[in-house]
Amino acid sequence: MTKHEFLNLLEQRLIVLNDDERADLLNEYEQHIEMKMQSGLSEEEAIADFGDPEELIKELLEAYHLNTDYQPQNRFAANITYGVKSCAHFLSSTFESLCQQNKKSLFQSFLRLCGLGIFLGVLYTFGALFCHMLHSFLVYTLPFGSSIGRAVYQLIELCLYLIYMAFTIYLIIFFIKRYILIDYKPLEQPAACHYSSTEPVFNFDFDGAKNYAMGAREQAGETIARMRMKAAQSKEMRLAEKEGSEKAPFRIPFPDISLSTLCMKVVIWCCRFVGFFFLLFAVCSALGLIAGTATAFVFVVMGYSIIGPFLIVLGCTLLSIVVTALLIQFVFGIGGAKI
Amino acid sequence: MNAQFKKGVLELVVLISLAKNDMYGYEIVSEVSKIIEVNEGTIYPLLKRLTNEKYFETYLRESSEGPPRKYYHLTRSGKAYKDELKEEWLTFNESVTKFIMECDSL
Repeated sequence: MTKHEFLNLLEQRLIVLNDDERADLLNEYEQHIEMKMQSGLSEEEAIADFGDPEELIKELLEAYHLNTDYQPQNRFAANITYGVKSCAHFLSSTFESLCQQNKKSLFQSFLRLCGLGIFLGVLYTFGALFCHMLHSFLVYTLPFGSSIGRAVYQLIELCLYLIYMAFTIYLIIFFIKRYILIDYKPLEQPAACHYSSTEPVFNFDFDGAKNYAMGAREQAGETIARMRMKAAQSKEMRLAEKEGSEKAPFRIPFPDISLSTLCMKVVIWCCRFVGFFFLLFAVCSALGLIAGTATAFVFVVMGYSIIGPFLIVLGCTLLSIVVTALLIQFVFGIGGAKI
Repeated sequence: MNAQFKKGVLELVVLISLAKNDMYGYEIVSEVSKIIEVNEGTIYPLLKRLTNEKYFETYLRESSEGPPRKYYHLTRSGKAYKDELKEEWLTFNESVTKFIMECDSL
């Protein structure tokens, strides 16, 4: 084995070490081989004195308390596998949690999902409205050619769509994590290497690291304890509910809330989740749209062209938004002024 | 020579060699090889381990014949560890030799 082969082998197998440590070690070995060669031995002989390279590597890894069977993996493949597996794990946990819930909480989840759908729908409507106005602005108002305007508009529209999609996906995942999965444990990350002992292994500030790790562990422990308590509480509540429904076998296992209460709950949840003002604007603009569309429809039926009704719809929506804003400002005194 | 004997004693020999004066890797290996025959490659992991456990300190010193060399210095805790190991070895050696003399006379 030549000196280069030997050192490369060591470098590969010791990839798990700190860069500095590894470089240091390889440096020492190189110097040793050099000095042996100076005292008369050939390269082959100098390396032969080290014995079996595999044994040597094993001893080196043991000196760092590392798993001697570690082989460096293809990181990229490992990460991809991890990504796919954790998606599958997430979905299966969701389904499991859903199956474990009783009818009442399942219905609640469904309501929440409806609320989320309403929110996303409203958001989409606003986005579409904005896109329409932008389109008109770009194509008809700006001085450069309408084809350029259209191209720019398409680009912006595409970006908005992408943002909207990303936001939707994020919201759905957030929603699932918050309300459906209680005991979700994410998959373990692909380990870069396996330590056979829990002692710090690299050449760095041991005491500082220990203190920091202990502090972090305490904090993490507290958070975990709190989360566990919450989970335990919600579990107990669900169990209590289950027991309650089991004790009265003749009751229909369907949540006994009236339709109005249901609607109220949905609205309240939307308000809480979405924000009061946004919902108000949404409601008002929806009303405005409906009123405007009705009027526009009447006009279209009566034979007028489409531009007029479109402007009427737009006008009604904007008017309702403005009126609502003024109402909020002056009647409820939220902006500062009060009648 | 029995590998287990060598392994146990290697640490002690390295510590005692460094107690006299600071040396660099190759020097330590040659010193130890005079006392016990050992695979030279395995001394470096030992040096690394003892450095990680703060028994040695290392520093670089320029050399006239090539790149700067890393010198090992015995710390105070290293000295205490060396004394401890020396005591253990002498006691151990004494009792085993005595046992051999009594039970299995040459």
